[in-house]
Amino acid sequence: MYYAGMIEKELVAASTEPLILSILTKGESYGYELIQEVKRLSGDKIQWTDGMLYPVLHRMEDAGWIKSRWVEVESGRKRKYYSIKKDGHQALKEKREQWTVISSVLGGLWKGQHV
Amino acid sequence: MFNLEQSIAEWRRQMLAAGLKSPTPLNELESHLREDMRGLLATTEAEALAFQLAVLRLGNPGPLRTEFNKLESTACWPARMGYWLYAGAMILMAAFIYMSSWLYFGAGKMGLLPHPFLLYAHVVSLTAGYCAAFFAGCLGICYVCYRFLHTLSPAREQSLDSAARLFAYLATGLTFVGISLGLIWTKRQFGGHFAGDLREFASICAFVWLVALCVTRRISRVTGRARMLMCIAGNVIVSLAWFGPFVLIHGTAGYWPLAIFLGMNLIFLVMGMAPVLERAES
Repeated sequence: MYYAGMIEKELVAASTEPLILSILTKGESYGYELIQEVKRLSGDKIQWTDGMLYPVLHRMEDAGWIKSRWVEVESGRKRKYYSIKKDGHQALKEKREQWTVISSVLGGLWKGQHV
Repeated sequence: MFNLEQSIAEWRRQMLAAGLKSPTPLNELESHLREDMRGLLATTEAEALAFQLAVLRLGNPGPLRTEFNKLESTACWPARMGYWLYAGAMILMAAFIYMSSWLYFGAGKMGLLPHPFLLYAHVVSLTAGYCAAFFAGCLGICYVCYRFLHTLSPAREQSLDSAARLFAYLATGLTFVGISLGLIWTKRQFGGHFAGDLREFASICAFVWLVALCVTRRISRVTGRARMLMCIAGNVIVSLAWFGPFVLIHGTAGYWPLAIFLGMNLIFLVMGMAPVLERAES
């Protein structure tokens, strides 16, 4: 489903939803912009297969975490903007707690180790 | 000479051929393709190359279709449950009508009824048609509830709409068969196609409404919401067509469930027509 330059695809897949939710907490965004933002933030280490982002967005919309609206941008061209909903904030809070636990466990294990 | 619009039209055809039928994701993917093209054109002047690269980055149609189909199949449990419930209900109904006829006329005396199998087929197909209309109406109610609770996503709307369309077509076809068989039976029994029974008139009224429901699906100006509300109105019309003549003949005593059913559907119709206020987001 995903491919990644440096980060394994399973890890990229697992981090997709928290990444999207976190970016959307800053304001509404659209698919292409989300991909560019993730590339920029990760220094091109996280790369999504562009089209595969959309089923994830739709699934998150079905779950009631985000909502969308079509906006006419220029000369009749339309762009679909996504924004986070109340349930999305709650989901992000839960995901953040899980990722923090994993991060702190690994951080503790690796502390002082030279891998 | 490269033509972007032609290339995008060809790309859309390929995606449709690969099975990505739903217009919403396709429009969104096209929007992405155009965005990516614009980004790529900032670094290259070769428009054809930029288009090919953008298509490549978007991904192959096969895996994309698989992902979107997975999404649609899990989008709406009422639609999936509707298919199974309808199939089960029809088997039970056919068996029940056969058994009750058997008991009514006595074992082995079905033959006493004039043209029994023609009448049986008429009753079964008309009941199956009316039930299909009720299933479409129930999906309309689900639509109203999802919309009211702010949980009507595009995938869910698409799923409900597809299922309601199937039930509407099924209802129209089966009701047509039922009415036709009824006309033939009446002709054989009474010598004319119409016996002047109120139920004949009521079933034709229901059929006209069901035809209207199918026709509106071909009119692009009719919104999805209007179609789903028509399905709920179908509940009212079909239930009146089914039970109304009995109420007129026997009186309202014992028909209180019909009143509750009608009232409930009218409430959902009003809910569906009312504007839904945006819920405050934190």
